[in-house]
Amino acid sequence: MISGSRSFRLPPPPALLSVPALIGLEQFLNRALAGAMNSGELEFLIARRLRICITNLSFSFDIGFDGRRLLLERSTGAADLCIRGGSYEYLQLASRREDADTLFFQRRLQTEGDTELGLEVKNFLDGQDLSDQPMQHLLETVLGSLAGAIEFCRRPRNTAST
Amino acid sequence: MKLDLVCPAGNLPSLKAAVDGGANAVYIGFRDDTNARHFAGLNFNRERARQGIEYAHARGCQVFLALNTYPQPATWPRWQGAVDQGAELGVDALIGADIGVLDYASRQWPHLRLHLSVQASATSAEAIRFYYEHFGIRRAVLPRVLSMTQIRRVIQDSPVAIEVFGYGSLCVMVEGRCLLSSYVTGQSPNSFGACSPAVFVRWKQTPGALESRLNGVLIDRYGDGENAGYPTLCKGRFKVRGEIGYAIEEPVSLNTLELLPELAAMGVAAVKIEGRQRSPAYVRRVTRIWRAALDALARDPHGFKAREEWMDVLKSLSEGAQTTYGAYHRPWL
Repeated sequence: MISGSRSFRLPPPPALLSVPALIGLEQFLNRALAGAMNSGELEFLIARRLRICITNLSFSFDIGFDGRRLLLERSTGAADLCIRGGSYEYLQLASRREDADTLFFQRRLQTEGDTELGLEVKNFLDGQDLSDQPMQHLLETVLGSLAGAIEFCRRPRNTAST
Repeated sequence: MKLDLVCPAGNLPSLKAAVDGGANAVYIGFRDDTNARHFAGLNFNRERARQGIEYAHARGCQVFLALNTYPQPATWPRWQGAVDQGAELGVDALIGADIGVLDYASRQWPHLRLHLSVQASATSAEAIRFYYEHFGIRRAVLPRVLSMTQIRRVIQDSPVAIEVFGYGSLCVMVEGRCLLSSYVTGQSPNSFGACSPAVFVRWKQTPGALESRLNGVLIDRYGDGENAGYPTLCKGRFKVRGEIGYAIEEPVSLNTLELLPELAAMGVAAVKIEGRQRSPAYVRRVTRIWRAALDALARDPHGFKAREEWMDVLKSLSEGAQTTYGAYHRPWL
């Protein structure tokens, strides 16, 4: 099995840096998912709070949806669902190199709270067809290459797997 | 005899991954309780199904529609509508289990190819013959409870082609008749289309263990470093005679890749990959490996050997990160 993210720890990002990062991510997501939002596919997120915890960065943020736009902010209060994983695991998911259930079975991804909401999120993201969106497709490829490079660097040199 | 590869798709990207990876057929379901993967946000609406069928057909791949749950008197119109919609969309086969659904499809759409779903739980040639004589089924998918000897016997006497499961999460009970999930949640997987519906599932990290609960009932407690599985009662741990352990089945996936030469020699028509609930990444990787294996088998049936790197990847994608031959290697006759 691939070694877990526990060995891959980075210092938490300074709070000042995380704000522009969240604004950038929020803008990107709102642009990338505009079509899905217009067709009502994200309605399951209205009045819900989804928490993304990036464990090796000790950083978390919340995602909400007001019916028109996705809203990202630093975590506050209680969330309906919390997803926990390392930055490498999120990178693998974002680049569609790895399946969420696989990471879950391997204990590299965890959810706590409303399981059905988690399933909705997973299935919504899995269902997004990026093949006709060149920019998103390119981003997926770049993230995939990055994940591949990290995977290569972390692979034990003597054996491919145990 | 050529073995066909039948792959799962819970969404359009998965369907494309299966087609591009070399599936001979992809099976899909509609976004409701008419199929046995009725999960939130999964499956195809009419437009996505149309796009998927168009994509597959343009590349020489067939599309099967799973309509394999059991309607209730009040919900019958939905199953009837799904049969009609599938036929109108031009699916290559309908995978059904309920005799009412099969009867309606065979009368209303006599040219629509019918496959008997694993959910019908037909484990003998006699049972399969019944469906063949009454509804004209052309293929039957065998439940994952038969040994290799039993599969061989069924094939010898079956009036139709036989499809078996090749890889994926295991269902250990008599499929289509399992009541374990109903016992805990009050909701029947056979009519609702989901075993352990997510709305009843809670995961909780406690000190030293990850706990899964179904409708409040503790299913399993995974210690640190232990691989996890789906929160189904059959794969939970029970206290039996003072010992806590897996009494029915472990969290594990079926993998019959090494049995391919034997399955092909006994005349199996198609192998099915489980996992419509999984992501496009799973479908892409599993389809490619099985395509490569089936091509290797076709080139050299006697020299076929499951490559180590295929087995490693299939193991890493498995539930509980472990695989089994399941019932295929059981001694029963």
